[in-house]
Amino acid sequence: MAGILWRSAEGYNRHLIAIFGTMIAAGLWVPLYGHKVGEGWLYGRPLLLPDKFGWGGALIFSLAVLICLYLFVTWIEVRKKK
Amino acid sequence: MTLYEYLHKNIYAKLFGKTWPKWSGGILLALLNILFFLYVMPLGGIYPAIADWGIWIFRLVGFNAEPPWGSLEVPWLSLTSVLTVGLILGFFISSLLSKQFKIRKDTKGGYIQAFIGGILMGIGSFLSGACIVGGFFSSVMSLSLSGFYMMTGLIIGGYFGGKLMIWQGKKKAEKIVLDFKPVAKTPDKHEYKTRQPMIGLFATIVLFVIAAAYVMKGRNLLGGVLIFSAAFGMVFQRSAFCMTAAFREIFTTRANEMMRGLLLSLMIGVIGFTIIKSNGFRPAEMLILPAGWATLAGGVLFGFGMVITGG
Repeated sequence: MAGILWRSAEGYNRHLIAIFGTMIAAGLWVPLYGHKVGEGWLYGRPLLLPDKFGWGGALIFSLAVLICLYLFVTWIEVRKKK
Repeated sequence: MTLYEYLHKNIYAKLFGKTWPKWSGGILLALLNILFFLYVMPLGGIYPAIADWGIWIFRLVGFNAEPPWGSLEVPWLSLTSVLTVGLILGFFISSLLSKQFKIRKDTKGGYIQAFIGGILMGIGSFLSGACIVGGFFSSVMSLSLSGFYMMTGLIIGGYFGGKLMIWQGKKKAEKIVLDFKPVAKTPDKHEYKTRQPMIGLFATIVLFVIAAAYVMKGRNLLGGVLIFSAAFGMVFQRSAFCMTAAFREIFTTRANEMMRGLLLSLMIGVIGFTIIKSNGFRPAEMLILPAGWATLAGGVLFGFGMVITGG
């Protein structure tokens, strides 16, 4: 979301149009769905990771996921260069 | 060498000349976000603010729309709106100071595509509960499961968006080969003279004046948020920290420098947020969004929308 604001502020007309599109979608959400965001049948339950794994476990879990992804994207890049 | 020349060469040219490396942007954004969390909240709420503005427009034309998030406040007193305006000002000031501001027109097809992308991003935000910044960037840092759900969705959306971009690129390339015209060489960005940095300086002063006005009216928090978010905006702009690119490049050019910067930022942020939350400096429940199929679907739609918009 920051991206389209930033491009708009740099003078891209295209991204101003995108903001306009999101504004339209915003006005129609509640009339169409009948609830506010985060309420109703559509949404799952919020889960704070430490409630499940403890603080250390949640931190390790998060870092592990991020590091795996880091290695994965690097692997993709290295494989391309061959 | 005069003082002016010294400052120009050693401070200005370094800050606003070349784009900062992504990892430095990532580190700065993580640190800013940790500070901002201690101060008010994790960075987010950009989409709710835009939605609020949309609702105001709807109300102005006589359609009684309800805001999808929370209750509607007048923009100048709403925290999220002030934050978003601060971000925009930060982007604007930063692009002026680095002489990158330029009105750029696009083709009709481009506008339509951006419009559709915007709507998709809107729906994606509603489904996942927040936009990419709040729902993914800050949520992962906040140890919320929803952040990881949205990340998965964004990767899938980025995949489809990337495929579409490659297909479009091929079509465009065929067209260019047919009517090839040599492009005039554009002068180097820092060679030509422009008033932009002066306007940028002026805009910076305006920013501080507005913040001061908030403080004088007793709304210290809003003034602080305005300055903080402008700082966020400047770091985003100067390091060209584009999350869309991060998710798109995995599947298009496969140059994943941006994604690595983003992941580095998240790793630093998650450590900082864990320290803050586990010690109870700020409530642990802050920015814990619903996690479920809707989050994942929202991520997919948002990811696709942002890639075709080209944010």
